[in-house]
Amino acid sequence: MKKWIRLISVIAALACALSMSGCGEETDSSSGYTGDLPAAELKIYMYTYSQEAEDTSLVMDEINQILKQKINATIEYNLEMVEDAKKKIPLMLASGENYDGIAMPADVYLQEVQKGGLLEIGDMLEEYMPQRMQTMTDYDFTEITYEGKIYALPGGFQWFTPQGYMIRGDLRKKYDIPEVTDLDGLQVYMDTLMEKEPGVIPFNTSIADNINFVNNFLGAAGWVSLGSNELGYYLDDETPTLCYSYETEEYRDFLAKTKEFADKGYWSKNAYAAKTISRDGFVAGTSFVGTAHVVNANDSAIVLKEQHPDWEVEFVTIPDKTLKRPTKGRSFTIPKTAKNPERLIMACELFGVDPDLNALLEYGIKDVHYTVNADGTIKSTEAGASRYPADAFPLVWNNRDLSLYKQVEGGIPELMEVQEHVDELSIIPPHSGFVLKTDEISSEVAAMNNVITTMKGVTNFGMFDSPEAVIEEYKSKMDTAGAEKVKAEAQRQLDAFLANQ
Amino acid sequence: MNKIKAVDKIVFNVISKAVIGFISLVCLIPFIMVISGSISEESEILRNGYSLLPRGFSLDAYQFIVQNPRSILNAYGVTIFVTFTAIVMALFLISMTAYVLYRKDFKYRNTFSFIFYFTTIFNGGLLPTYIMMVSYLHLKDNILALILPNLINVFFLLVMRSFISGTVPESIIESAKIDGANDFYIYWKIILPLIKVGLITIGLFEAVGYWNNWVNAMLYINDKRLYPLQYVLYQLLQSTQAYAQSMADTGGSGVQLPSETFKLSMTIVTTGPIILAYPFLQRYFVQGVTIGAVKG
Amino acid sequence: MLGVTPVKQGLHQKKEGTYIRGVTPLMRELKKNKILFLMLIPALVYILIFNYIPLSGLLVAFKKYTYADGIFGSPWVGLDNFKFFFMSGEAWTVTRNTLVFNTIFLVVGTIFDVLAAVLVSEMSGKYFKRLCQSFMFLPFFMSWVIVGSIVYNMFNYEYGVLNTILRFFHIQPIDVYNMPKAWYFILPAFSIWKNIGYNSIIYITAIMGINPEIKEAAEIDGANIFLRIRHITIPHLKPTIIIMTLLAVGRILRGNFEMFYQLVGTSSRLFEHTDIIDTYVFRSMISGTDFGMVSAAAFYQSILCFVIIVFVNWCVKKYEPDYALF
Repeated sequence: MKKWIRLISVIAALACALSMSGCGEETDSSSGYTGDLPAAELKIYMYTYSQEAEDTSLVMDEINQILKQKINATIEYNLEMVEDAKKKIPLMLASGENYDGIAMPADVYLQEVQKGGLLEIGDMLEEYMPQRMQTMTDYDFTEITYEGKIYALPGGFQWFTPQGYMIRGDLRKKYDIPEVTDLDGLQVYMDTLMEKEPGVIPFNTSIADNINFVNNFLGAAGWVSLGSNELGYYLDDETPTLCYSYETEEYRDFLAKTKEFADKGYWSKNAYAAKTISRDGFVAGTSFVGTAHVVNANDSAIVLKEQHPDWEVEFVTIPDKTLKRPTKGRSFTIPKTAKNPERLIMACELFGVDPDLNALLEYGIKDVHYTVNADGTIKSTEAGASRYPADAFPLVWNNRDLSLYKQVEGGIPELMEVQEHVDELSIIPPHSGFVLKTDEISSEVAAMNNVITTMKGVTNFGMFDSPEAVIEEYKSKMDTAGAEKVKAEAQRQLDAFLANQ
Repeated sequence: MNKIKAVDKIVFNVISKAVIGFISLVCLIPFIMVISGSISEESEILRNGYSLLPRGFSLDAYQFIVQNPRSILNAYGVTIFVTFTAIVMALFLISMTAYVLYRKDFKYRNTFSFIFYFTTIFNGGLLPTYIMMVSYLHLKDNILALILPNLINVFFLLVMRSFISGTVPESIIESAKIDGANDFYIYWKIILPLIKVGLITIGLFEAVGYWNNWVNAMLYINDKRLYPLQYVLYQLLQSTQAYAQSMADTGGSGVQLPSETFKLSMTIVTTGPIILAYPFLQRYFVQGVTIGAVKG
Repeated sequence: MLGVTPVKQGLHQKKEGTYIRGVTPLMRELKKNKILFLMLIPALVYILIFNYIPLSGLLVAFKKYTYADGIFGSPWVGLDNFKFFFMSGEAWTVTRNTLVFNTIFLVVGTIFDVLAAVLVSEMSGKYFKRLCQSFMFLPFFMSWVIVGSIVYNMFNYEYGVLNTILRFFHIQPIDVYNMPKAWYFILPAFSIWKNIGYNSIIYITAIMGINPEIKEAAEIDGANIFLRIRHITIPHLKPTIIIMTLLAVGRILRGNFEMFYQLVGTSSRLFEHTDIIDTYVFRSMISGTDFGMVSAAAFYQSILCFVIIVFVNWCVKKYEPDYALF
């Protein structure tokens, strides 16, 4: 017994020593701050899609030095995986923790803004973020406004991210396949490769890809989605009349196509059970097509250049009339219980305006993570590629500035091309700014969520006998869940919203 | 007579060894696949999946130990400290409570048993627990947040109660009371030594439970220095599933995915020690001998 | 007048005739077993803080929860939060699946766990025993995420191990992810595989409590090992089996979310038979957690478990009062 008690005390002491060794940071008295703002420590919570990059805290230390000097504030950040963040953000808001800033995924924001836990910041923005506010257009405000009040920080420049397919340029040229510009071309590409390079599933996709294959059909016909619940309307409607995606004619074409692809074996018969991400498969060589949006494709291309220099990446977008123009705003919110909301706003203003801060956020520490070429382009170093890769830190996502941004070597040209043509390639849908209030229909929406998620696996991968049969199934399940009621309510709200424009 | 005895034992041993051997093999094989995978070449694994023998040979997946010894050591320290403290506290509380509930002369033992058991049927859910832990007990980023939840596992409590009732003869308690001992003394000096095997069993279960737990870290810990091992692994495994969701986002996802082999090597690193706990403890699972205490 | 006051309702009269007015049975018990009560207090305080006070969360199932009002201030909405579950058409299917699978896991699992425990305890060969026990313990530590990958590796149509072997023998490959009935075998098999090492420990420990003298006496009397197992070992395990079963029955409406989510995942064609309450609720919350609905689903599971376990416990009490849970 005594032996165990001794052992435990030793371990306890060890653990205490280990945990305390990180404590006690030296206070920096030489920050050079000359104003009269009291010191503030800002706490930010952000969701992320991947593990925190190794050098993030190093970069933040540098950033904090500059922030302390300019506005006497430092930032403490917490990153959380997106799935966990979705669960924790409601809990955090319910228990009233004093984060100064919470970055939420868009769908969580739409829910939370209705629940009353977020701080209204319109006036503060005018005072503390004047420069960025100047750059905002009316359209930009639509995403961060709810019922006339502003609840999220305006962001910097946001990528326009049309989705598309990455294909192997080197293989295409090798087998003389014509350039791919649409789905038919993609089919030719896959057919040829199935013949010439057997043993690889041409489009090794799965439900994990979160692919919106259906957009290729509905988008091309001008059917724009309301944002959730499979509701949407045609752009050339006189007044937007809502209908469900599976009620459109184009949906039938989409189903016919996925069945054709499934029968031909372009993807695995068990694609809806698999967890492969075609983008990864593409990089590893276990897929000849990878779905991605243009920014992800850019990131993958940079990686690919390292691993397989002789492979070429071509990015194919399928024409879509309904791509939404990105707004400057990303659900970076401030909860009601924040201690220093003004300082946070000031810090974000600096991120977008101060070139040093911006470069730190975007690329990391100069000469450690990246170097600047003679012509001004950025080359990421090996350390940079592995320890502070581009887009790794979520704080960047809301604080970019296009005038300060420089593309990293190795990426795809389409990235910048698409940004330059954003006005031609995207639209501002008539319903922008509309948030569906789900108070009265929350039960139906939850039941419909289940049907939609379930049917996605079936429809996206052609796992059915005939398009008619599966549309019947979809419709009847949705009706049981309350689809008609939701459509009527949504239409009512939409009409009221448009009338107020 | 002797011949019959020998034959039945042999037949039994053959059958039982075959059956148990088969089950053990089936249990072992996936684990071997994980080990092999962790020392394989990443590209081979992606192309051809897992296998029994390593495909190619590469220790890349274990590099992170060399590169980040501090965070792994830290996670080990946290996990070991939490597990040990929790075991000691839990065993004490559980055995003491189980003893009270076992005492047949304690009139309300069924009522209290029900009061304890009720907590396993009805659960308030995550929301009030989270609010209690964070807003009232102020345990966010506190190591106690990893220890206190789940400290009293009612299942273990009831199993322990049943174990005490199966092992301890009532006469011992009666003779101790006649000698003038009070209940706590009986518990501490007489009962505890008798139920050593039960303590070790429940202790093992507690160890495994606490070692494997990542939920409390996910909910209450943001300070990286307090991350336990399983939480680090959990985040890694989450990254894959999260990565795909970035399709819907316009931020790009940056960091390269942890490789398949990395996930496997992390599994070995986080699981390794606790697996050794069971074989280590097996020598304490000796045949119980309690009869002597009463007769003497 | 002293000592001859009429017995009040609820007062318990001791044989000796001395009783004090106002003392309830509880207080009497408290006095008699003071120390036992004191020993109970730490655990009681613990469950008060960590279990009973948070029970207030159950109220959320019947309220429309908002942050501003908190749990106690939010308005009552009756059974609204239950609608998403009961009006979706899926309620019975997922409840049935949860019950069916949990029952299969319980029955088949217990058989295998007891079998393994008995065989391991009674067989000879010290090192073989220990080695096997350790191996059987390994699956418990594998996360379902990795097991999900392994299962996919085994059963997928194009490159799965099973189908590769079938093709080798020129047999038609099987599309397991489209065969719901197959999962009535696959899921229990994996449940057994994962838990056999862990669960059998309890039975092994119980077997170790058997007085060796009894076994020796039986052996001398001529009983072979099979008879000994049947008449000594198994009956000795009865209380343990009953209590483990009762504990499992008390959770019979609670599905193993991780296992189903990782193994079945999004294979929608399997859902008719393999979707359980937990995975159903998870998918319904995909666009945002609604505390009221999540709480309502949990309440539904709890209330059914409660009714079932009270009934089963009562049955057990009638026949073997010592083995009942409460």
